[in-house]
Amino acid sequence: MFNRRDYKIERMIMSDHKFKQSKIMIPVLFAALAVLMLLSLLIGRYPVSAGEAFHIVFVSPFVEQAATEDTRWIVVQILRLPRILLATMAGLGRAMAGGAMQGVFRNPLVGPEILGVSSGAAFGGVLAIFLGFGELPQIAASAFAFGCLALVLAFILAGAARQHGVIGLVLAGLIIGGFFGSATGLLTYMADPETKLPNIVYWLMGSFAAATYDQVAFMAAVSLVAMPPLLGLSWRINILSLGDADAKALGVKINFLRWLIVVLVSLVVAAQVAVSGGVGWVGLIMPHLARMLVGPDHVKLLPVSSLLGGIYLLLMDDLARSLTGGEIPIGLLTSMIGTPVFAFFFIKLHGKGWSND
Amino acid sequence: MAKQSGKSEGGGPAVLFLIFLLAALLKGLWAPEVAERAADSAGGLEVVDMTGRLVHLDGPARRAVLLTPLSWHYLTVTRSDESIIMVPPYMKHEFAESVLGRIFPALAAKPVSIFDTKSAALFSAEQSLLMNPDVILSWDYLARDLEKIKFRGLIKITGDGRYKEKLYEVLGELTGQSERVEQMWARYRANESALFAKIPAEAPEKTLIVIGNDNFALWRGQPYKKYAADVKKLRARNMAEKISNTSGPLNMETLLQLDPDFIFINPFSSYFTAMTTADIYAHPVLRRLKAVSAKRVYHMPLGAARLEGPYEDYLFLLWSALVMRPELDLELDLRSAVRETYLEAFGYEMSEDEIDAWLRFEENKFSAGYARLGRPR
Repeated sequence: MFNRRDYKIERMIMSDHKFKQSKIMIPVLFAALAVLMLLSLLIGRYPVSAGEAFHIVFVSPFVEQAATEDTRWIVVQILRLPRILLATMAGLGRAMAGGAMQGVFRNPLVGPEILGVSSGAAFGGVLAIFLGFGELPQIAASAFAFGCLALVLAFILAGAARQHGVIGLVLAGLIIGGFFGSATGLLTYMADPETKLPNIVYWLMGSFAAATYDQVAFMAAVSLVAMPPLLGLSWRINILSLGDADAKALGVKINFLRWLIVVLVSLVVAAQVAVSGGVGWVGLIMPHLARMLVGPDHVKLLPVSSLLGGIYLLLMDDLARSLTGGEIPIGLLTSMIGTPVFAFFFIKLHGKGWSND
Repeated sequence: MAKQSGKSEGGGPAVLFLIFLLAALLKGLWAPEVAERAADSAGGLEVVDMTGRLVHLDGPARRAVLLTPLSWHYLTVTRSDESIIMVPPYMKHEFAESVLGRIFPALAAKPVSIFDTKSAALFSAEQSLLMNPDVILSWDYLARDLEKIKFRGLIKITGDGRYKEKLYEVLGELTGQSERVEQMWARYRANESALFAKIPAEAPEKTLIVIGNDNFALWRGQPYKKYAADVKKLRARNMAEKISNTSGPLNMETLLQLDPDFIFINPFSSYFTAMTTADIYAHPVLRRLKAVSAKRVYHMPLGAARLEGPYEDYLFLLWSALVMRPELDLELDLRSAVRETYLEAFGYEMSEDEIDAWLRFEENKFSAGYARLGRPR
């Protein structure tokens, strides 16, 4: 059976300049993300100096009498820091999920939405609001539960059709996603225009404005369960991306592996939708950028894609909360910037196909 | 070489991710909290907002941010715009088109939230801290980040069944005008009872629908629910009750099947609904409706408060009774009622031109019986 050691040897034989480039890419991106997170502490409508912000974040938690009534402390600790952490984790998770899905499906034009998990989670959130459970933890719980349910339904559907291959998964995901998408539309249509509809619309457009530390803890916990295993499986995704026949020949249990990755990806996506509503395009575009930087090897691609996603989403959230005196829904920004970028990749990839084919 | 490469490939990034996520988890679990600030003991004020939360304030509102279409209610209670420091952008259109902008000319100069949206203002918590208001009135679902920082003067508004009464109760407490609010509602109830008493129980039932927007969606929002209940006492029935959807365009065939006696266009400004009675009279399909062929299409008056609240609610009912019940000699003078009401509500004397504008007389004058509401000769 083909194992991780064999894979490493093969990788070294096949190394190119992108492989060398990728060695510095990850630390550089980590450093860039860390710098952006620090800078994000200073971005916002309320003026807070760098010295004050860093003191509030790095010193005041260890001081017994922190000035928790001070407006600057509230701005930095309660408003900015949780949304910086949440936007970063959501971006990291979403882009890693996208990279993994593109590898598993051997298709660069799929995103983590392909299995209907996003649609299921969106339906769950909308259903909670529609039924009058409009508090944030209730919306998040319902969104996460329905995101997971969508995955289970896709699994059952693919099993019932005896289609465990890529096409079966995609079709099952499309059916489930389509169903939940239309159900969301129906609830939106039926919602009371005065009391429920605006809440539904704003939630669907996505925002980190209401980020809390509870959400940070939840997103971090789910990410801890899903992201390190995804990174650990990244070299196996390389094998899956060779195609089913080659992967089988190398002794990989492709169905089990594919479903394991899909489950991990779905957890991340459902958690992201649960805490921030609809945020599209990050999982679709960042893997492409990462592929341009470090090539198609998922061992490098997943962390680089993930870090780019964290940087991108954090940057978008910085814009969302600082461009105007109001809050611009982040889903609008990621889509407005994401669609032209995706169009660029779509044109560029046309005729070239998937590099592993 | 192989060993070095293997280390840098898999382990490094995973460890860094793990450290970051663990740090975030720990920060999330041991989160800092905003200290509750106690209200000043002297002159303190307690208000129960529309979600049932008890809000402690230092005193009546002095710097209020109004994020919902509440400014007219707020102004009705306070009769002053001094304490308003910000309104949502779409309110500017209401001020410009309705008499409200002439009653309170300073409103036009009030800052608006920058992000323009038709349904509500998405207002950032940081911006609110920057403007230093003592009170923010916000829809429940737009107040999450304000709740997060435990903003002390947050008054949450919901659209429950007793929307207006409860809202006025809250505004009365908030501005120290509870007594005035009680008087307003007492006046309203007396006027309403007198009007309903003039409608005989055996009067034939009339049917109506209210067009809510330019796509012919029926107006079934929260303000209309009260109106729909009230017009029943005028022996009129809202046929939209049969329609299950509460938003979205109406199927023209449904409209043909309902075939109401009256069609009204909602009382919002042209920012929300640009449709006019002429559009409906000229509509190739709607021409078949009996309301259209009998010229019984009316644009509802453009009041200072979208015909909501204890003053305008009654004027709205009076207008509806006079329009839908021309066969009854109600002996009620709408123009005088409008003049007296605005004088009492805001201390503002309406001119004949302003009353014409309030009635949308130029637009409605071709509709059946509307000439009766014109200026006395």
